[in-house]
Amino acid sequence: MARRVASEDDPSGPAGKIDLANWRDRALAFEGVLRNTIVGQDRVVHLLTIAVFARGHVLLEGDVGVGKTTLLRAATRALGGAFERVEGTIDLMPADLIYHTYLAEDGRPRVDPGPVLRHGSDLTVFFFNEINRARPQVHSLLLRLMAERSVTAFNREYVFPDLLVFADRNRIEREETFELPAAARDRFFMEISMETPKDREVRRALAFDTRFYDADALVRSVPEDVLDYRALNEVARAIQASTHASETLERYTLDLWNAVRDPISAGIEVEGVDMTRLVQGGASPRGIAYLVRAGRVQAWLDGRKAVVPEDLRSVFSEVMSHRVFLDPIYELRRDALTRALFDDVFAKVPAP
Amino acid sequence: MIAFLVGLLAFLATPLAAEEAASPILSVETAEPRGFGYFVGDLLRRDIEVRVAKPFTLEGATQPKPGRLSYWLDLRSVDVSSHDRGEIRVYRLELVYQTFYVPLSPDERHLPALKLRFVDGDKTAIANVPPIGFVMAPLREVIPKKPAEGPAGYLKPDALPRRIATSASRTGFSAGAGLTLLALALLAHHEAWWPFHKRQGRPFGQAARVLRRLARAPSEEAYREGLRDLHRAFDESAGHRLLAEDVGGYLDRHVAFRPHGPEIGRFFAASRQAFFANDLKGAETAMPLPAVAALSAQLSAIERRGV
Repeated sequence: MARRVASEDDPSGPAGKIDLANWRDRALAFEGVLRNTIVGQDRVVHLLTIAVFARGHVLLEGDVGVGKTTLLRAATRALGGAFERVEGTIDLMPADLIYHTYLAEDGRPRVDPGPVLRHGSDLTVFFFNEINRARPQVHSLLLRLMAERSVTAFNREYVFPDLLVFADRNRIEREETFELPAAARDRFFMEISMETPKDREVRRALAFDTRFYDADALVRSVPEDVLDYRALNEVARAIQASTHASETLERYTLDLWNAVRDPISAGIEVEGVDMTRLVQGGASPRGIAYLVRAGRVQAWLDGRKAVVPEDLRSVFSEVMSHRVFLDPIYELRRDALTRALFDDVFAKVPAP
Repeated sequence: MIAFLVGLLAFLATPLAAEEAASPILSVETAEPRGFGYFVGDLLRRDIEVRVAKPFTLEGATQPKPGRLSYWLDLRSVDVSSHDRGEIRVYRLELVYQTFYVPLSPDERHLPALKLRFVDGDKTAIANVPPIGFVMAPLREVIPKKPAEGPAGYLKPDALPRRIATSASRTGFSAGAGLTLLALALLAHHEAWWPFHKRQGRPFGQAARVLRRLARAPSEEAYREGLRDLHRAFDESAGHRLLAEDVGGYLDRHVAFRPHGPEIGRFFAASRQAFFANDLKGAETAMPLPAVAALSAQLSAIERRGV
């Protein structure tokens, strides 16, 4: 395969030293490795790959025991770098994430760096389990961590340039949980729903194939450092710089945005729903920027140099659904309604 | 005496036996017209029935021919028919004459005699039909009273022409015209012509019309507009916006379009190149506007067949 050097496209930019074709092969290899490890979750794995190459934080949502943690651990191993995991509980406080306080053997209280700081700037994946069980104070810390990739502790600033925050949330329980503030949700690049695989053969394998019994062994089977996490920021910039979005696509994106924010003007209808009330807000400019970012990565993974409407459609739901705020009376049926809304948006907004 | 009687018998029997053997003409009967009361121009019909023994047949040359017989008499028509009755063949001739004789006083005229020859190989027999007379009368002028206004009064006003009944024709015409209009309307609806050019279910017809117009004056803008029009047709046909990666599913649902699958794929590829890769020239080379127009015309034809 002929290797194309990105510097031909953008000699002045930071992408100058990045061989994007080579990186695409590695991205596909990364996706392939995860797909072999977590069977039946091809779409989730693909979206996760997009998020990694768009440098976006991901909120995984799904049933208990579908392999959310295993997937994230496998992804971390393939990425290289350090992985840290925290369980969300109602009494968890921001300080618990940053500091580790304990009584040392000599009987004196000691304060060491906590989970976030322990690995210094090598921290690649920070996995927040059951994020909705943590209090808003913790969400605030997380918000800063996600937005700025830095925290202040021990009177100085810690920076994590390669950090990706993965969080998960189970959707079964609602008691003793705190809904994420809109600002924190908006900072998640994607909210990916992870379902139990529907394919009978995959289900059989998950139940009877001994390979899946031991999650630790399964994660250890993933080859290390498929990607070099230290180069990912540069690669992501190069991808964004080299993938082209035409004027028609810009118009299409703005039409999609407008249709979500103002469904009535675009003639969008959802059965049994008062469209004047359904969408109360959201679909922020950051969300649309994330959408285009994800679209560019998707186009690049597909071997194209230009973004097409299909790219946006394939990531739209995961990028946009958690940014749309519905009227409270429709909130309980959120999943079904946003799905219906987006389906109709893509059925009605013309392309090109 | 006995010898005389025998001789007499022999004399009598011989010609009788010879007569029987010689004449196959069994009878000649005629049905004659009346013998009087004819004026110039009248028709006379004479029916002749001749019964002959088989296998004698009427010789065509002796059959009378229609035409002028004399300066005053025409034979208008001759109708000959025959049928068999056992060992006998019956010939029937229907002759219609027309007389143009203008007598100054009642006068007897004659229809001519006929000789009909019947043959059987070398043997022949002749049936004689005698002439028949009839009396013709002159046409005499009846002198009317002198009209008061002079000779002009002899002229009678022209008879009014009889009015031909036209109501049936008119009804027929109206019904025909109505049916024609209805058929035209149905055809226009089927072909999505004006005023049905915006009808539902004929998106490719509309696109084909617009594309035909655009293909006449190609330009970059026309090319873009043409692609967009065909996209809208696909959207309407699919019931939602159809993107390139949906084409496979679309063809599964619209099987009749499947033979054009490669062309449809080429169209979507060209559209992608034109709109999203900013390579209008390349797209036009890959699929020029006439090819887009041809594709929409083909899809429109399939669409009309009702799929």
